[in-house]
Amino acid sequence: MSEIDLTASLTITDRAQSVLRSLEDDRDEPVAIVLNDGCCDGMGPVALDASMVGANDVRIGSDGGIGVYAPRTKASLREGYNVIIDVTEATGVGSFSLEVPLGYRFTADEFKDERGKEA
Amino acid sequence: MATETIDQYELLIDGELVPAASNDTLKTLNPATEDPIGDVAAGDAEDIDRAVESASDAFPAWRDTPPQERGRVLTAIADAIRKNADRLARIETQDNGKPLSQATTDVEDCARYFEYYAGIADKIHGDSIPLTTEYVDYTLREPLGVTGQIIPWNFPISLVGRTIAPALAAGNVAVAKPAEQTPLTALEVGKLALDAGLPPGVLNVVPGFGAEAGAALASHPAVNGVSFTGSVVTGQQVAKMAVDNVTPVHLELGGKSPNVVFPDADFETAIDNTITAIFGTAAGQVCSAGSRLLVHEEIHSEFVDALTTRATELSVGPGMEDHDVGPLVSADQYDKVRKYLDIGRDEAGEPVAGGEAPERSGYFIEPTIFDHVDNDMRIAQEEIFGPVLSVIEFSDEQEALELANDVDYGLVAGIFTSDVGRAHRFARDVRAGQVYINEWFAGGVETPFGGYKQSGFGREKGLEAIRSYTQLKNVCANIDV
Repeated sequence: MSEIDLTASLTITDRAQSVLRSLEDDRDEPVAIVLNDGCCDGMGPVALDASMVGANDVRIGSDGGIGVYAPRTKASLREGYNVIIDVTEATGVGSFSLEVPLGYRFTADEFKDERGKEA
Repeated sequence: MATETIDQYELLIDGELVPAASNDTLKTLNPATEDPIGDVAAGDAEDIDRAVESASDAFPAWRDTPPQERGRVLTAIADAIRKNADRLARIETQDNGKPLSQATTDVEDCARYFEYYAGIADKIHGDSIPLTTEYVDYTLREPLGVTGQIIPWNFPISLVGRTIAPALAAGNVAVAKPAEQTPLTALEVGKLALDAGLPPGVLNVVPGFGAEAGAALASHPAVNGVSFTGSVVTGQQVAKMAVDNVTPVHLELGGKSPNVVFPDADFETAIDNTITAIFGTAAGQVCSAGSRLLVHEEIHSEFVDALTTRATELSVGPGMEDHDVGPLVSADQYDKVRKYLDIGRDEAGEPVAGGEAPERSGYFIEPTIFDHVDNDMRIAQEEIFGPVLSVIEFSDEQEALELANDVDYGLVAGIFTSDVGRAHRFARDVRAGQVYINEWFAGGVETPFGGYKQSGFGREKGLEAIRSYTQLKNVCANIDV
């Protein structure tokens, strides 16, 4: 794992941080977020034990001590993007992301302009 | 349109329908209406333990069942699926959202997998290897034991057949974890299989959340093989969990597949197949979608104009009404694709077709085409997994090949041309597990399927799946002692 700083800004909302803290408390270990694309699982950000972050995932930022990662080749595509990680209550969604059994799902809003920054 | 009422679904463990140990349930929704259609027992690690124990107990007898008898049972399962095809297709459409005609095809695919592997059950054998005269050497191809199938939501019943039928044919037993968005038809097939004569415990079906049931299955020390279809990041997690037990894994992890069209292609065939490749199957939610159209500069304008006309003519609506394009499977998938519509506008400007989510209930997205895309844009590199096509222009064969290969993924690639040499040069040089020539989605249950690069490893379908679900033992005897 390595760190690059291509993202214009990265924010994890307070409510998302609250859910992440709860997951960390339950699991008694740090949790990280990987921004994923593709296929029939993990459509949004995937919350996973930090120890499970891949060797080719790079950290594109952090907020509140929570690291946010992306696969190396996809990380560079986020140059100049603002990223806001939020959480919403969810039914009928799924993935290996740790928050889903609790009835939540994390979301990622990614944009290059000022849109949504107030969120 | 009334939603067919499906009340309580339970886990299928050891031949019995049982609640989750926790008594927890999850809701599965109709993505065309966003209404719940069933409460499904949500299995967790304790339920996976029960299922794996049942499968382990069932394994010796199933392994030792004469192969032709295993084949007969699989044939009976295929027959049962066909007899229930209409009902299964309706359940699939309500659970997944896909058009009823596509769900009907998927049900037949499931039956076909059981039928195909039924015929293979008594033809799985090793080799004899010539050594010096004092030795007799031969190989035995033996089942792995308990296998775990983590099944995705985009082709739920089809993937039940694809992942489970070869496992059972080879003498394995199975614990399937269907996707939490679409668990119903896996349970239905499990029940039909029991009625068709499959012994209890040989196939267990445990719906549940990935982080709970899925992780428990992937990391279970008594599971001897894992099949996973899904995203790269989750596939990596599954592989890490399995490797702690030195359990072999098969990963099928998606794609960003190039659909390459040359001026000498049959124009209408290429148009028809381009529509099918990205809009006409599961609303683009398919790993092997042709999501990047690479079109030669000589026909670029004409081709995109014709494609735009066709795309805008596609009907979008509930799967039960059998429109051309159904809803996306879930709220998170819907939100993700809408996000990519914004990213696409930022990168490539207004789409030439679609680009909107219709104002209605349900997770619908218009068939969308972004033209003048550069291959280094996010909408060309990231798997959107929806009805969104990125069009990239090329000038010659070499550039087409370079663009085709310039993604992390390598699941499928297609080419439309009347030049046989060009088609096969492309097939030789493209880095993908499947190559389609003049027909997208060419092939069948008989043809091996799997990825190069980040699209995963291992092969399903065809005879290759039997190799994935067996292990080889070499026996060498000195006969002159």
